[in-house]
Amino acid sequence: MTPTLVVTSNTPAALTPKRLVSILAFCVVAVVLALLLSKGRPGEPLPQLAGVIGALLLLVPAVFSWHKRAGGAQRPRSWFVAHVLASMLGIVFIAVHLRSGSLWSPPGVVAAAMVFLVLQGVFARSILGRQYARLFARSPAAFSPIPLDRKALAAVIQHKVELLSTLDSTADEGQFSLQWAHWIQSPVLSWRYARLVRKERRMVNAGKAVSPMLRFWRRLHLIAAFVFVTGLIAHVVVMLFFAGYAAGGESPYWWHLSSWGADWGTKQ
Amino acid sequence: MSRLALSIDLERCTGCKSCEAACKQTNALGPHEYRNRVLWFNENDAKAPRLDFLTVTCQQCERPACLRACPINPKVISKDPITGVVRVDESRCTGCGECALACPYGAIGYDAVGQHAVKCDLCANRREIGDGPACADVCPTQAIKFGQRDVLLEQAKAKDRSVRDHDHYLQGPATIYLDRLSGLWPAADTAPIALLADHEAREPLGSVPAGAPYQHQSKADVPERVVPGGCQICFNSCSLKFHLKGNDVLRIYGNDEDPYFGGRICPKSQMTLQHYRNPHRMLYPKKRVGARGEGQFKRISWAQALDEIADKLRKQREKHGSETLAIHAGTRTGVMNIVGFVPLFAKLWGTLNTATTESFCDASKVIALEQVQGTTCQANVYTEEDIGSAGLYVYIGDNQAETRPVNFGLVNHWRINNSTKMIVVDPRLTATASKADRWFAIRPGTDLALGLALSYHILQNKLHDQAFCSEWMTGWEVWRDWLQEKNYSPDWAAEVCDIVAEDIQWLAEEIAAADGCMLFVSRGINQHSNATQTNRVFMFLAAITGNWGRRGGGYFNVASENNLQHIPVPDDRMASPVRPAVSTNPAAWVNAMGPNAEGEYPITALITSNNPLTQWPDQTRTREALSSLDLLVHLEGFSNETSAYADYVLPIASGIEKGGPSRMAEDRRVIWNDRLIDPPGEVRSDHWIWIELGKRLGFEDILQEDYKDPAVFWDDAFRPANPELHGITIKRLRASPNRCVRAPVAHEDEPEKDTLFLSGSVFFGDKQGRRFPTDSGKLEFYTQEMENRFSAVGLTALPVFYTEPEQLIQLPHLQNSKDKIPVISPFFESPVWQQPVALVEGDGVEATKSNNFDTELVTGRPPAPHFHSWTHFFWQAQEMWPEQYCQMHPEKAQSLGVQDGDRVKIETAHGNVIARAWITTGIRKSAVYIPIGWGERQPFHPAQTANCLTALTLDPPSQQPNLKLHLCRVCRAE
Repeated sequence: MTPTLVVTSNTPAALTPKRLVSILAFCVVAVVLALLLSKGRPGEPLPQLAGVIGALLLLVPAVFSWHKRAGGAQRPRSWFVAHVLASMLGIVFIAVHLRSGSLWSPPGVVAAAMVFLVLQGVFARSILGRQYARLFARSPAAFSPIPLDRKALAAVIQHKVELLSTLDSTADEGQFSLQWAHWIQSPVLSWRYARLVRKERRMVNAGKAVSPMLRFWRRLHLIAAFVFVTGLIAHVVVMLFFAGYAAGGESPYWWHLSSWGADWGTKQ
Repeated sequence: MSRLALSIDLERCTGCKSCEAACKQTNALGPHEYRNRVLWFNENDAKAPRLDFLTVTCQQCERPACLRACPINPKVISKDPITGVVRVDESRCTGCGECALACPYGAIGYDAVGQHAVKCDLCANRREIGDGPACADVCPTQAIKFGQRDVLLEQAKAKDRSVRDHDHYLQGPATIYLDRLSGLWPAADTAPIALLADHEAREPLGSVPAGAPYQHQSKADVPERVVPGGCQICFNSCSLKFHLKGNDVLRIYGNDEDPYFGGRICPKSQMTLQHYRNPHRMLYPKKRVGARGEGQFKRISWAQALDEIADKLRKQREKHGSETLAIHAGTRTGVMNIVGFVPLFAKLWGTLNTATTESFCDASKVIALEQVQGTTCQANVYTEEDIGSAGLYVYIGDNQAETRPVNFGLVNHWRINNSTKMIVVDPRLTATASKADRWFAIRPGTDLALGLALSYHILQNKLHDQAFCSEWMTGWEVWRDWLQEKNYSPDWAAEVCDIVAEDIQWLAEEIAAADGCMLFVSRGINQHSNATQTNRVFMFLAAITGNWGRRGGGYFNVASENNLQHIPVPDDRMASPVRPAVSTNPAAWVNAMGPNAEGEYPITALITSNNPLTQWPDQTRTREALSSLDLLVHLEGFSNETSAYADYVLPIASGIEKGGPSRMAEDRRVIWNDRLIDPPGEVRSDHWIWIELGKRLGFEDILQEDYKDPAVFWDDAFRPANPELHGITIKRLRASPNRCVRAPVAHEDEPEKDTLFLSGSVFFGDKQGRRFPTDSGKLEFYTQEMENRFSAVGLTALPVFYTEPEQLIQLPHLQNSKDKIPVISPFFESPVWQQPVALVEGDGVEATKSNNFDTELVTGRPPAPHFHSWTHFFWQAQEMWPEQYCQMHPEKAQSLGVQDGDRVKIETAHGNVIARAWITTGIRKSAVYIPIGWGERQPFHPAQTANCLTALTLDPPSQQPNLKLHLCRVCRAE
């Protein structure tokens, strides 16, 4: 009997561009409704609760980012989906929270970063995905003689190999890339190794024929995410621990640590 | 175990993209998703134009940049420590794209729908069951080989092949590229042709629902059975294996048990996967409710459709006579339809106005072979001993690499292995020419002059095979003297053909000196108004050099018809009286249509397959003519321009939906398909349609009900009518592992024959014991009877040079002799009208020049993924070659201010077409080229047909039209 073949299908996409845009549309409607219907100031109990839930949801992407690099990422696609859905849902809760807040305030900058992240993410997945597909066979010149200094490149690779023998003696340079653990355990060596990696990348210049948008969107996404998470944490810390400062001399009307303690003491 | 790798031979690759087709069907890839891709490059060096092809695929690097770039820990991309194969785990990939950015070879693909990376893993699933990568298995030219890298390198070294060093990035790529034998390759800054690099052109493919049908496959789709059969698309009928599950075809690969092709197939065969469940298929009979051309129809039942058609036919017959019905049968509907059912129906009905596509493809060759050889059987076959042993390959007007990629793959393999010289004569540097030692860019339409001059030079210098000429040729001395008298010398031909005389002399001497020259000619000479004479001249050339009836030498003009005979009808059932046919060429039927119809009687009804409203020349006139018909019935798989004009549209089945042989293969092989799946909707086989229509007209005693089973029709009716097929029973076909048997064979146990007409042999079934079944038993080039036949239509048996009326220089051409009355052509078995012609000098040139028609327009077949119109409904063929294009020389482009990829307007005296410019030095400076097959109603890249530009001029003996050469002007399209 002729052996027959089992075809592996493409992995079913949990978030196709079409679905992603649908979710975004749903999210926009929900945000608009939240902005229109929610009442009260951001620190009042219900908006504040929404803010807490939103903040927790918006931390899921950070956890995803950590998780996929930390060494145990068995289901990164599921985490990716979670990061998208949590972001979308988080933004709705935040909309409830900041209904009457000002964008021209420190929390407003955080909110703006949040909106940017969501929109950029959706844009990247729905529009740039096709551009990634177009990268295939973009470098026919790579198959012709090109003026690349192979000796210099070989020296960089050799340097990497030597550094790696100290950084991670079991690793194979050809398949190695820096992980969190390396940065934590040997930050200086990791930094030196990262410099060599960048040098090799510059010499190889694989991104030569790639549009800047495609090359840099992810870096921008990571920077914006860092700004957002930092801002979010700062906002929470200020509102909880420096409520008087945040209230600008007035009496904080929102729940914060000192008032929670005071209230608790009074009630006792 | 050494690393596994692909070896890609750049000398063998013809850019057919079969590997892409195999990859997508095997790995369930949709539009825009690639694991491999073939790029085309022009090297626009004016002195040495080249065409090169590069297959980009994963390099399975030792230090994979993609793997190192993957930010996920543990990595989604992994490298097998033993085989070195680099794989991506799509179920874990989050689609960040870092790997695609990092790969300097651009060899990581991306699934924009599923949002993850895709990459070649050398078909891991196939390797698990002992197969190799699909691309290597199907590659028609054996350019892609799979194996252990060390072994592949050893093999290359043993053959003294240079291995390309492309490890600039020190990543240790495993994929091996064998350099061109010339050592030349496009410079690093050479971009692929703009037309193919333009992603925007492929945007319409976004409408394909999830890459149907490939992406509908899942792990559960394990084929339940694998059945051999053949491809129904072109005349090569490559042998296939259909992987089936229930009523679905999951995959289509080549038949690895085929002793000649070994499983190698072109992309078209594989893409018929997209035919069987194509969303654009017509599914129900329909009746027109709007004006002709509007495309407004209502669905009706088969019973209503056939009842009404039969009723209208009867009324037509009563009013105008039975001959006013014309039937044009499409070749992809299969040989049993075009030689079986249609002629049967026509005889019973009473019309001689029937035609197949032969009248457009190779009728001139058929007529020429009948005159010269007495049979249309061609001698040579694609075996190592025959075509493989040739000492020289000469292609004239035959782009075999793109029209029959698998056959060319064999020839190219023999060329490389045996260091055999290859010469190509063609106005364009085709994929075939890209492999040749010499390419001569002949003036279009002047091959006849070249053949005359080659023969002249050989005879003048006594380079001919005297023994063969004396023993096996009739009239060769008359020709010799005639060539001398007319002075058809290389010097004379040089100006006519635009090839220097020394080159013509050199070519003649090469042909004469070769120990076996395979002379391939095809549509480039067939589709001209001088086609029969040109074919005869090249037959003469082959014969005087002894290249006839020998292994490794011969005249070959695709396809080989095996002298197929119509099924006889009892005299008392033949309709009579029957007036002569208007023409054997359906395009000439338009002269008898409409209010200004010419001739003895009008044609008022047409039943047609194919797509006359793209296929027939002079579309303006054709559309007016078809609009005027009382009844137009269209039998097709897809709705096209002709459907829009039809009164009734009848959806037909194809290939394994209906069963039967599709076409006779190029080397006389019959390939059988069983009916393996049900057609979609209410689609029916055309066999069924003719039988059902026949019933309504009282023909059920001849067009019998049980003939709906193709096997019954073959064994009980078709085969018995054809002596050369007597031994090809259904039982024998089904017993063959590749479902093929080569004709002629007299009985079931008779072994298949390879080369025919060998010295000392007797032609199949010839009771007089002749080698060639002509009156003289020799190849006949001049007899008095022959002279009478040619003179009846205004020509002479001794060939006089003439060409098309539209040429850039003054050259003789034909004109209809208006003062002479039409005659019954002596070249056909049945009576057919023919208007005699007269030879005139080139007085048409000024008229065309005054309209600034300053450019030769050459038309022809597109690259290998396309074949006429059907493939334009396959999304992958459109992905490979999306838009109608126009090849032009850089000097021409510069003079027009046209850049590569721009839109240009090509205009002739007959119409205009918009196409995208492909600028290449691989074409005559004075010519442009556009391919056929595109149509206005195709789903992805609709375009006007090339036949908007052509006119109707027929070759008098064969009535085959000139489709190849017209004068045009070109400008940038706004």
